[in-house]
Amino acid sequence: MNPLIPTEDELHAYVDGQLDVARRAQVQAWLDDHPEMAAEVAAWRRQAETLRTALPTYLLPTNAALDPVAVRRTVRRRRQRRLALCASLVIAIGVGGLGGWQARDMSMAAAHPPMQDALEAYRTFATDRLRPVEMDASHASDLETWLSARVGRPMSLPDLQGYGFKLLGGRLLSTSDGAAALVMYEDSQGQRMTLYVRPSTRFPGNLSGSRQDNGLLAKYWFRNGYGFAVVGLANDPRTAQVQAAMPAAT
Amino acid sequence: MNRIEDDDLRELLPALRRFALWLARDASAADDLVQTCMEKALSRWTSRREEALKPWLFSILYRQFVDDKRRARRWGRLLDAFGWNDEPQEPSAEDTYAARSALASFEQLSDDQRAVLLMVTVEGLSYEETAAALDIPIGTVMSRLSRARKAYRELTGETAGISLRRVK
Repeated sequence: MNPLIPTEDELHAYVDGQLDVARRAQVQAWLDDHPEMAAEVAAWRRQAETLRTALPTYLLPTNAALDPVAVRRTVRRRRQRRLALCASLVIAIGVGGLGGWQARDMSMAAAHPPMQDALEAYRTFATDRLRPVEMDASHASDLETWLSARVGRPMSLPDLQGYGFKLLGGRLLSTSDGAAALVMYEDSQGQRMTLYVRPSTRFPGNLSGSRQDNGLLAKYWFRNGYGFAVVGLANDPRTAQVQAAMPAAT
Repeated sequence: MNRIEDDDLRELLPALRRFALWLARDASAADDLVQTCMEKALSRWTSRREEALKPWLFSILYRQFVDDKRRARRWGRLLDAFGWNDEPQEPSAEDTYAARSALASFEQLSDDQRAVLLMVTVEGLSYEETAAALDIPIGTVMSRLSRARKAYRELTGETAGISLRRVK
């Protein structure tokens, strides 16, 4: 085997100018004696020349966006846009969450208006002709003691004789927050008015208000963990009068 | 410091674009490729080892090209699976471009072969640099180069050089 015979790799390296000078000369000499291989190598060389000369003709017009300075700017802008997007997402989630929480409170309040149980108690018991109360007013002080002990708060039963209502009696009711007292008054026509007292943790502070609901008028207020409501017929002017006088009396 | 690297990059930009153009065969796709390559190069500048800039940039660009192609293929398969892939695979603009170029035969080579042939003959990278840029052993570079040259010769015959000179 003649060590001078170049390998194919060497022929490529020869074409690509990647042989050292000495070997290059040897390959050159060998090719001079082997015209067939020389033709092949010449063809490769023409290919390379073709590519080299043809490609620049397709060079594109300059594209300013590809300049490093422009690329840097693009990257920076994109990063800022992403940051802004992240920030706006955080804000949107925050606003949505907060709004949702408030909407929840509002819809809870709408679904459970304060002291609604006072109105329901009126509808249930004040319309009952046979047994509206558990303990009647014949022992007013016993009634007071009983209700006070069970509700956990001293109860003084206001005197509404000045409005034409006399004490009928009272009963205990249960609520999700504990025992509630329903005190009932009645006028000479049998029309009734109630005072309702219950523990309440849902409405802290000194919230108060009034609400008309299907012919009934309720005035309510909250003090020291308890809710109070006076409920009477909405079309009776005495209801509002009693309600106006009441907070001072309890 | 920025200015020095910017000048280096700017100097290699034409070569990068040319390489990208002949890989992507579409001018706007090529510039997108170069843009992504530049972004990556700038963000990885500090982590660059002591290698020559040109092969390093070429390797980023080539990898991006291969990734893009793989993604496009996956996407194409997905479209096929749903029967949505009605568009012709090769846009007609590319066809006319290829026909005009008279280098249509070159474009028929595989991506691997084109990349090797371009890096070695047009961009003048050494075999070692080409191997590093394509992340393949040097033996693979040699065999791809050999196959590329033979395939290209078969595709063009002896007339290629003459017809190309006419294109200019």
